[in-house]
Amino acid sequence: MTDHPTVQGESSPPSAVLAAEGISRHFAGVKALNDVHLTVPAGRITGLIGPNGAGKSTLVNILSGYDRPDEGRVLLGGVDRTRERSYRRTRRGVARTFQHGHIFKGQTILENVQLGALGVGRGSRAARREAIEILDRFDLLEHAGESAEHLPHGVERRLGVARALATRPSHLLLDEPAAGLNDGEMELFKSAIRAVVDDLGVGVLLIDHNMRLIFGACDHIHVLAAGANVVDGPPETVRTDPRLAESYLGSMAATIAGGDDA
Amino acid sequence: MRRDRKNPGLVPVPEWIGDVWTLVAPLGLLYLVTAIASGVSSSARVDLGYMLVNLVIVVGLSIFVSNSGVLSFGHLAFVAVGAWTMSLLTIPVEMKDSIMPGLLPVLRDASLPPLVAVVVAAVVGGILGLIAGAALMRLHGLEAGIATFALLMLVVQVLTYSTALGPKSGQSMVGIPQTLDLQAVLVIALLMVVAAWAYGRSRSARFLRASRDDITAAPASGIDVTKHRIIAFTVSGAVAAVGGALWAQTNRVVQASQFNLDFTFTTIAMLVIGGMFSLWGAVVGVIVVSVLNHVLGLLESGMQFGGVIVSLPSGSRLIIVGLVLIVVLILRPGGLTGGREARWPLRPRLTLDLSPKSVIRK
Repeated sequence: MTDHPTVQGESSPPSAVLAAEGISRHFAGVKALNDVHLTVPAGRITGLIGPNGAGKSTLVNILSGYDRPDEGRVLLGGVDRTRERSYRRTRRGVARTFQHGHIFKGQTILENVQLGALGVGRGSRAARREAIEILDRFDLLEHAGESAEHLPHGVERRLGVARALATRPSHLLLDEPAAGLNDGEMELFKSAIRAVVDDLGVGVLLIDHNMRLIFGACDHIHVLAAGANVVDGPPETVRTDPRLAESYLGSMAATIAGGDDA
Repeated sequence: MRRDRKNPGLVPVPEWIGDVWTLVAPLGLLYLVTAIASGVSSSARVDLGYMLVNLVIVVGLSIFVSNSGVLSFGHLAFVAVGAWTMSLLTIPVEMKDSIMPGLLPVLRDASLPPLVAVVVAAVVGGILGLIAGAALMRLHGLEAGIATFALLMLVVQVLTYSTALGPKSGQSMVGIPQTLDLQAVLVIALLMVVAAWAYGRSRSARFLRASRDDITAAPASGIDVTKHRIIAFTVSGAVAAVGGALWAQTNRVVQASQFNLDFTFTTIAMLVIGGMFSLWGAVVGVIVVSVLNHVLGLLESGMQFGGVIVSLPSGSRLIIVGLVLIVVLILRPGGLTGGREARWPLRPRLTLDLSPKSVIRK
């Protein structure tokens, strides 16, 4: 599948950039995010790393419309979409996955992926055809008719990404998609994501704790710690930047000293 | 046609047979039970009439509950409105003048054939569902359920005290002609099952069932959960109001206080016992509880077993239905049907057609 037409004129053009500008978010007095900037360009894999509690998932929630920032803006193709609700954001081309799967358990694997396509307004026949193509892409076709109720971990992770991709996104936000995958599955997953980016021009935001995956797959990496930007750049410069290690060590030191592990 | 690889010689059963079966099975079961019960006794025929009415009410309830996964405690509001509409449109004018002197002139003069009145009841129920749904469907889970109960209280209060819409408080509407016979009621009940099935196959219902499975993931698939809940609530309200209209002309005495907790409990128990997440569950639940009710009713009035007269204290029906509900919830939390639609029984597995005809590859 090489063509990637926009959906009902609502979806943003593939060249658009998804950007967070000066995002701040407080929860009961705790600053989860403080003046955070991030851009997710099309056709690239952007990595987002940082210790637990750095605010990575909060940022994904804000980018996907699941949460609203106290300050700052979310721009898609230069247009302010900060206050737009999540289902509209999805139809506009911002798809996401969840850390904890959130699969539609009462449906089959095929139906899960079909729902992604139907939800953004595809016809039933097109939705089915596209779902089958996507399942094939993620080596899930042989499981297509199986119930999604009890899935092996690796299948569940891939299904989450497949369902998100079925909405034909311009941007795909992956929240720890490879957690718990073994090395072999990880390599397959990495090449599947790379193929999605190269074939469809999707802009991917990849959050993960696996540094092999992050540094092996990403074109650009942002480091977040304690709700603030620490450093960003291409993998080779971020890898050797002292602030990367510092941000992880800092949080460990705080944990050891008995503070919370934020 | 392709052969099944695992079972050579067997032609795989195509998916659509399973789909059609989810409609044919409830229709067939309903028809069969009606055919049998109508030949048993005259008291069975009376209870059969009520069973068909309850079936329409519970199928209406299930359109919302089984697809959205949100339990509604307030659907009797639609039943009450349907019963009221039917009564006001079919009671003869002279009769209305004597029992409801304060009635609005437009309602006093309104008079329609019973079948048309049923359709009007559906429209009124649908409008109430749309308005109430728009107000309530932003709520989730238990809050939504409690809010629907508030809707019932509100409707019952208005119907109890408004003399512009009905009789003086505490009095009943009588003189509703019973013009639809058992056969007509059966046909309407079958049609409502078809309507529920058709909605269940719609895109809107598929989205709702996805949100029922995972409310968090639904918006990430572009699904506007609130909108589809409002649609389901509207369709559901229309069908429940048809149930109310049928109830009015079966019971022939209508009073606001009848739409009470007992009635609410009975309809919810029917749905939950059958399995609240499917149409099949609604149909099975109504039939099982109605048959149980009928037998218990016979026992309450005393039944002879080989010279011994067994009789239950009156009022024990609801207690036993309550106990059955608890036992079912403990042993089969998904209800008797497990919350699934009827499954094609002849072959265990239907094949998913992934042949080149359905998959167009590059």
